[in-house]
Order: sequence, then C-alpha cells, then structure tokens
Amino acid sequence: MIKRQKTGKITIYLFAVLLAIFVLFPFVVMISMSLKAPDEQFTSPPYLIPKRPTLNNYLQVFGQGSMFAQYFINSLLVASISTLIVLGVAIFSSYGYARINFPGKNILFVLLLLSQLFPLAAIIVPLYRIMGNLKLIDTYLSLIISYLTFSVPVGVWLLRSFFLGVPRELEEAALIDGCTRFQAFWRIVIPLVRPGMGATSAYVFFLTWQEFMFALTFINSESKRTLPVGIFDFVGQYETNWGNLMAASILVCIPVFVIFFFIQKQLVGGLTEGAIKG
Amino acid sequence: MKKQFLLGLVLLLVVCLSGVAFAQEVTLKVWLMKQAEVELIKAQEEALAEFQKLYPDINVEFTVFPYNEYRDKLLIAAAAGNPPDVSVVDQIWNPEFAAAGFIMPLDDYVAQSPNVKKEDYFSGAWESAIFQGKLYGIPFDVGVWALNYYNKDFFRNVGLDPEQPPVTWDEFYEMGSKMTSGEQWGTALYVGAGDAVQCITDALIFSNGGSVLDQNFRKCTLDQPPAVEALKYFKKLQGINPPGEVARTEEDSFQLFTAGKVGMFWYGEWGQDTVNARAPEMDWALANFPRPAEGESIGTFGGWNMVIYQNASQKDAAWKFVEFWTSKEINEKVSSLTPANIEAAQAFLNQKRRFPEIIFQQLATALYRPIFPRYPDLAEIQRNATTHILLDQKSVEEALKDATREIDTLLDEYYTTR
Repeated sequence: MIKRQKTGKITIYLFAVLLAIFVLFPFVVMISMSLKAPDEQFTSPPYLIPKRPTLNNYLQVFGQGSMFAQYFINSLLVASISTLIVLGVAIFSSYGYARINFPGKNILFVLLLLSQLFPLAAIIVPLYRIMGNLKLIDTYLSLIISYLTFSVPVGVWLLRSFFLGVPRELEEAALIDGCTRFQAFWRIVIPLVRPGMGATSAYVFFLTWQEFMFALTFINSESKRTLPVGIFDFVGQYETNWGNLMAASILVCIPVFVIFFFIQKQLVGGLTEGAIKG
Repeated sequence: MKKQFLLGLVLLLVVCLSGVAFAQEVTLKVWLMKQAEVELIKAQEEALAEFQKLYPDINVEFTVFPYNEYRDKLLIAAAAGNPPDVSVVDQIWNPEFAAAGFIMPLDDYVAQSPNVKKEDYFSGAWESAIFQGKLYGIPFDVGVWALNYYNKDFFRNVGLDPEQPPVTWDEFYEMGSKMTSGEQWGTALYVGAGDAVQCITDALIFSNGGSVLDQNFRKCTLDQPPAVEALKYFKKLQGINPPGEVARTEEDSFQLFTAGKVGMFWYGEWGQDTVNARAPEMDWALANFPRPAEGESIGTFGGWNMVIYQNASQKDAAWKFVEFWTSKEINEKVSSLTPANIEAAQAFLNQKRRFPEIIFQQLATALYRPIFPRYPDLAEIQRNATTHILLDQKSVEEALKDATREIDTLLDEYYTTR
C-alpha cells in the first residue's frame, strides 16, 4: 500500500518535472539567446550556456536609436489605465448581475457575453472609422477606448462569479446590523472579492498588455507605439536581430511575471480567510 | 447677438490665421522603413536638416515602421483616404498601389526635372516602377538576389581552389557535391513563405534566357523550355543540400551557412554584415550567381521606390522631397541597402561592402520581378509549383504547366474585369 503511494508520487513528480521542462524550455532558450553575441547564437550543435555571456543585447535594447523604453512606458500607461477603468466599471456592474434582480437582466448579460463572440478583426474597420471621425487616431485614448470594448465584458463576467461565491448571509447580517445596502457592498462584500478583483485586473492587464491589432491599426507615431507593435523594430526586412529581440522579449515578460507572482499569493490566501472570520 | 458676433469674429480669425499658415509653410508626411543603425538615423536627420535649409517653407514629418508592419499600415491608411504624402514602397507593391489609384504618375515631374534622370538609376529598378506605360515611383534603394557566398575552408577541405569559385551551373553542382557528406553540404536551398525563393528561381530562369511573364505582362511563360530547364536544375540541387528545404526560410539557410554546415549560399549583398557578425572567424568570399554554360548570370532585383500619393495636398513639395532624397549625395548617405542611384551605389559599395565590383556588375544586369498588381497571388502560384517539384508531387513539366495555366487565369481575370 505504502509502496503503491510512493510510486504514485514519483510518477506525479516525474510528470510535473516533464511539464515544467516543456513549458520552461522556450523561455530558457530566450534567456540563453539574449545573453549571447551573434556568433554564438546559431552554432551547430547548439548549446544553452553562452561561452562568453554578454549583456550587450540588453544594453542595445535601451541604447541609442532604440525606442524600447518609450514603448514600455506607453504599454504600461495604456494597460494600467484600461485595467483601472475596467475594474471601476466591473465591480458595480458584476455585483448588479450577481445580486440584484432587474428586468432584462438575463438578456443583458447574454448580450454582454455575445459581444465576446465577434472576432476583433470584424469590429476593427468600424472602430477605425469612428476613431477617425472623433479625431482620435494616433492617440492613447483610441487604444484605451477600444480595449474597453473587449475587456469590460470579460471583467464583468469574471468578477460576477466571485460575487456569487460570497455567501448572501454575510450581506444580510450586515443589513440587519444597520448597514445600508451600499455600505454592506463596500465594507463587507468588496473586501471579500479582493482576490477576484486582483485576478480580474491581472487578466485584463495581460489582455491589454499583449494586444497587437488595435495598437497596430490606430497608432502611427513611433513615440506612441506599444510593446507588441514596437518589438518588431528588431525584425528587419531580411534579417532579424535575434539577440536584441530575445532580450526585449524577456523584458516584456517581466511585468507579467511580477504581477502574476503577486496575484497568485492573493488567490491562494485571500478568499477563505476573510469569509470564515467575517 | 453679441455672442454670435464674437463667435463669428473668432472663426474669421482662425480661418485667416490658418490660411496664412498654409501659404507660408507646408508639412509633408513621409513614411519610411525603420532603420536600426544609429549611424543611419543620424544621417537621415542630417539630410533632413539640409533639406530644410534648401526649402525653409517645407516641414517634413518622418514616421517609420518596421518591415512587418509597414505594408499593412500603408494599405490601411491609403484605403481610409489618409495616406502619407510620400513613402517608400517595395518594388513588388508598386503596381498594386498604382492600380488602386493610391499613388500618382511622375512622368511630368521627371520630364521637367533637371536632377532626376532615368539613366542615373539602375535600369531594372527604374522599370520596376513603370505600370501600363507610366512611371509611378523613383527608385530609392536596391538589392540583388542572389550572389554566391562561399566558405573558402570548404573548398580547401575537398582540394578545390578557393580563388576559383564556380561560374556555371554544372561547376556549382559538381563543387557542391564534393562538399556534400553526411555532415556537411554544398548549399542550402530554401522555400519558406516569403518571396525570396521566387527571386532565386526567377534568377535561374532569367539567366537561362527565360521569363515569368511575356513582355506585356499578359501571358505566363513558365512552361517554356528556359524555365523548365531552370527548375530542373534547381531540383537537381536538392542532392547537395540538407533535407527540409521546403519548410526552410532564407534565414534558416543563412544560419546553416554561418554555422559552417554548408559551403555555399545564395543571398543578397546586404547579408555581409550578418555573416561577419555571426561567423567572425569564417574565411568567406563572394562570387556571381552561377549561370548556365551558354547563358549570362542575371539576378533578380529587390528594393524600394519612392512614391507620391494622389491624396497629397502639396504634390510639388512632395516631388521636391523625392528629388532630394534620391539624389546622388543624399541617396548614398540615407540608404541602408545599396542606393538605387548608380553613382551613389558605387560610392556606397566601395565604402561599405566587400567585393564591390562583383555586386555592382550583378546589380547592373539584374531584372525585376513580374509587374502585376496582384503579384502576391502570382508569387504564391510560383511557390506552390516549386514546392510540388521539390516534394516530387509533380514533374517539373507538369508543375510548370499547371502554374502557367493558373497564372494565365489570374491575369485574364484581372484584366477582363478592368
């Protein structure tokens, strides 16, 4: 019996390690490539650990003639503002969908989800014309507005399930204790869905951080481009600067890693703690 | 009443002021390709300052895009009626942009210009901008597919003289087969998904006296003997090249060359810096594209032309900029590929490239790809035929006959609907 458990555990570990290798390998290659000079990048046979590791690629990414730092700031700006707006809209809207009964609720909610069925490519032309008429082409605002079209529904939908997970009794208890409905919502429910808010904003942030098509279509000026578009600066017509491209890709991943690390902790700890003590 | 009067006054003022502004200063929107080299960016800025000294009333606003995004941006902007005033376009987009009415013919400007003369540019580049008898662009930079890069050590290892690279198709094949063992190969072909393979097969066909379309670009000539022989030769090269050529891109083949896996590699002159960066130790040299025993070595042109958009509000100013940017002195400094202006090209090659005479000679005789607004579709038919041939799915004759039929249908379809 014990033996069986042991082999079971070993198998699980084995597959976990295999999965980790499978998932991490491309990333390891990226790191390796970003630390190599061009003459080490494409050798035969290839090797992972650079013989003469160099930080030149990273320096070049931030060097003269490179707009990478600007792209990074732009992406951070657009993604953060979009996320904040989505969160602001979604906490009220999804609470409404989760708790309050109003006529047409189901239809409206289905419509909200339905908007997710449109491929982005289908709405890009009308959006481009709208932005053109509003003189918003080549502005951050055009990106933020268009990101809201697909991230607000996702945010509302995600957060709604977190609200549904909060026991109704907690709110009722608060009401009996003399809270108004808004106070109950703000003081009791919101703290409980904080992990949900974290997860939602992380997800929305990823969505907008990596968005390519709108960013490509609406922005012209180099100084306003975001990372997914700007990273193509390292891909030339004929040749690609692989070292710089990989260094830039690693840098693009870092904010996502940092946020995920932070959110993961919240996700694991948050929900149960608050509920039981409350 | 007072309010309305005030509003009217403000409006009048705005109109007057902007009217004055228009009369004095013009702002040109110019779109170019993103350049990575710091030196080149500096040179562009300096050239721009010089232009503004010459024409103080013309402001120039540069917007640059990386290659992968450039075409989409131009098409979206042009289709939305909001293109730049001036841009560069790839030679193979030139007919498409002309046929769509996005860009304007420049014949009248050229006729009156003291500076822009046809004979100052590589003829293959100039002709790439002619669509249905009218000139729609001024060549800016060029490149030629292909030259034969070779690794001298491969020659030494098999007892060949590295100073005597192959000249003919047969020599290329024979030397390549000597270099081919289980570990190393004579050359690395590529098909991939881009246009590079068409440039190579076209060059083989051109060198063999053939063409892809007839002189008027109305009929496909791929089923003719020169093309059939050329593709048969291409197929033969499979024997001296590592497996996987259909999925391989030119970049992959390039990596095989710099990693020392293949002895010879067909690529354009712009690849020199990359060879040096990736294989600083390699003893390499450059030779002309191999020719058939009875033929001439003819490469395929690539490159970019400067065009002016129909929607440009200040066409004369736009022309002044094109004239300036393609002039010998400026073209030489602001171009990352070989300049299209012949004199500028000579200076550029001598200064920045090894084997400048070989490159220049290859450029001077190179031919452009078929001129057809739906060139991408045509190229895809060609690529499919090449793939069928290399994968043994069709014989060379059969594949080219099918391709000819498909291309003829494409041409008919296009020209009968206009």
